[in-house]
Amino acid sequence: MKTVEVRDQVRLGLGKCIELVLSGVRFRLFRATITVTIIALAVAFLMTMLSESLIARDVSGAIDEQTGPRRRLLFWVGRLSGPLSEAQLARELADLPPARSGADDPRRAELRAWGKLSAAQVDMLAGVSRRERVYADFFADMHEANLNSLVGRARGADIFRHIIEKGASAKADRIDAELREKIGRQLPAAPAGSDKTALEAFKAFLRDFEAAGAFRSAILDGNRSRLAAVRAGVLKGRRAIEVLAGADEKLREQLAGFDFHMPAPDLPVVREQASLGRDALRLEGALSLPVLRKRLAKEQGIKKVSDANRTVLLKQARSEKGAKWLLDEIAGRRRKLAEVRAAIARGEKVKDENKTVLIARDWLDSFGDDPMTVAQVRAAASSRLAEGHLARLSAGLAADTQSEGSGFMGFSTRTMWLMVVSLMVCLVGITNAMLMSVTERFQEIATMKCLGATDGFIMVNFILESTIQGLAGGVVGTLLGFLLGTGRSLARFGLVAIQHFPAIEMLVVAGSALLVGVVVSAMAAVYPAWVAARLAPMEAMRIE
Amino acid sequence: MVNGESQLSGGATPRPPDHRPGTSGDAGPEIRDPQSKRAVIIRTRDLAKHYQMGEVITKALQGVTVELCRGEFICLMGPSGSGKTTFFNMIGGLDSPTSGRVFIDEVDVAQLSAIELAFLRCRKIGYIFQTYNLVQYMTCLENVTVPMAFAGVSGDEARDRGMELLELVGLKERWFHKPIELSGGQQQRTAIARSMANKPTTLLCDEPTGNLDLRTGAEIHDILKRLNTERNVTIICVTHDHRLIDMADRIVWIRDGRIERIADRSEVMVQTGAIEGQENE
Repeated sequence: MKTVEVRDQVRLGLGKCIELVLSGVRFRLFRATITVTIIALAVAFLMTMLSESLIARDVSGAIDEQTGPRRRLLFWVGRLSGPLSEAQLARELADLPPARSGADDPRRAELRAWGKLSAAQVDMLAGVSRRERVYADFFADMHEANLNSLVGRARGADIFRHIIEKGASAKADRIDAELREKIGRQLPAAPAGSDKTALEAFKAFLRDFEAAGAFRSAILDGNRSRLAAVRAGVLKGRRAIEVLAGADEKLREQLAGFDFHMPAPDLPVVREQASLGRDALRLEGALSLPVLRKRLAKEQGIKKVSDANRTVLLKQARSEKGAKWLLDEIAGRRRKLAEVRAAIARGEKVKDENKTVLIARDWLDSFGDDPMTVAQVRAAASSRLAEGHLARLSAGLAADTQSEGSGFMGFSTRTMWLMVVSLMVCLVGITNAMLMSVTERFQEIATMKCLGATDGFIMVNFILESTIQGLAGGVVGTLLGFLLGTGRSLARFGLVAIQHFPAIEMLVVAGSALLVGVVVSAMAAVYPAWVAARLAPMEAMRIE
Repeated sequence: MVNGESQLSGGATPRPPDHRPGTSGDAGPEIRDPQSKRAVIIRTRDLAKHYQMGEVITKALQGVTVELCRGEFICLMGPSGSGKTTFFNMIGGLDSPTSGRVFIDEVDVAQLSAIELAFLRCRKIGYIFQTYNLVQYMTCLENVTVPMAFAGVSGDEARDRGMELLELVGLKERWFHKPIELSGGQQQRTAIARSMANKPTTLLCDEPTGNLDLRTGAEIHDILKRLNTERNVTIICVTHDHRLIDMADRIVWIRDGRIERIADRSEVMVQTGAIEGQENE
């Protein structure tokens, strides 16, 4: 019995296969269009989410960058205006970066100086604060009712004090028991690398917390006394922002002398922000001049005088013309004030409407002592307005619940599920469409097999067809998604969205969305292709 | 001339000497061609095929043993449900038997893998269907060259051979037309050209003239006869067309999954009728 020598049974080259597939697709264009649309929609959805998320991340970064200087200022104003609170101290300790040998970072130096502590002690406090944060979050997460039964009315750091008061170790045992039995939760696990149980770790923390109490008090006391000294010796009754507006090396050294360390690079930033802030505050005081408000409203074309608020004033003061107008108005008020004062001095009766200018005499006087130039006015107004704008953007970002998640690229679990489900629906839809196609083409497939097509060829044919459709759909979908995502971001954030456009990352994301489309199509076609490949050529015959 | 009637006289003709009447349970008659010492191209032995559909077992073929020689023109006949389709599939390498053997060119088909079967279908056997089965979105020439592509023939050579084949069937000027632009007869001729693409030794035809009128059918008959005599291609037809049966060397009747009878053409009287009053076809 002879055997068949399979020589020259050629695997059709990919090019020829693609050719065959394309001519077939042209023939079945309508069905192909449906599949392409399905993929396009799913990919567009994916791409919209991804591009929006990318842009939001960039915008967030930009906002951070731009609000950086102001945050520095606020930090220092807060520092020099009031003493450190318990909560603030705990936060600072917890946020201390790991110690670098050699250079002592300023925060660490301050804390050490205030509390007269060694570096090791400060590190210990930092560790306690970090653990405190973990436990505080744990307790904060619980229902009011549960907390009440565990620790009574104590909240925040007081919870730990309450537990210590009630007998630390024993109370901790009772709390642990109640957590497990009644509430069904467990204390947070011990930090990595420790072999303690959760309860042991908690008790250890309580011990350290108690011990740390003394040190922390020392720091707070130290801070308080230093601050008092600064207020007496440096501020001398002026507001912090005033002092900082004129900050120089000398001020920095003075502050250092009182153990308030301002890093050198912060100095110019803080100074600039402080002077802008101070000018803006003074400017806003102009609103207290009633006549000015009325005239501002008229100038800006606003009907209700009460609508002429801070923002309106700032917008007015931003332009060259507006700033000049404002300064002229103020000068006018001052002249009026001088007139009224002179009149009173002469003993004349002053009309009531003119007396109103007296209400603002303090402000007008102080303005006169230290007048502002047009440039100053404009700078202050612009900076204040920009701040407001950034604040709104920040709020817009914070309100974005879909990027607040813990999943891939910061998506919430819900969004991720949505994307996965949409792709699955897509996959099922394509499988269905392809199965219909296979069924319609039974005779054609069987004929091909009679002509010598191998099973593999048939399978490749169908998968290729689906992949090509996936490619087409993917391209359309990616483009669509990109436009939608960018459009929505523009609507939300304004031009900031494309100012810092993450071009390269966007390309990568687009490429992966496209890839996803192609892969899903190819996968969806596997089952129908397999069905087609298994078809017996007998189906082609129809002998009655 | 008999009006509108064709006759096939069966029982009154002489039978070959070693024909044994089939008894139930027996294999069908085994015929050796005593006259021509032609090589046997397709051989079956106790071929049987069962289909199981749920509880019911359908016995499509029940032990068929037959030998078909090279260069023969064979017609398969039988009522529907007789198993002729199944038999056709077996000898065409389109299906595998439940029991028994099929040897195509001395190769046991049941032992072949899927790829080897595809090779067989590509190079050794050509198929012609009742419904032509052309690819609708390809031109005639492209249709004809599809099997050549599977056989690895280069583009140019394929085209040349394709045009040659189309000329053989008389469709050279219409090589660029799509099947939808062709008449039934032309489509079938294209299908025949396609089936000859890789110079197969056997052509399997499933009612080639089933969908055609008498005149176009005649063209098909001519071509098939020519292929048979000029190129020594074995032609195995399943058909009811009496004029094809007229051209056959041997006729095989299948009934109830067994070969009822195999007869030489000379033993059978075939009358192909004509309609009075119409031009002779």
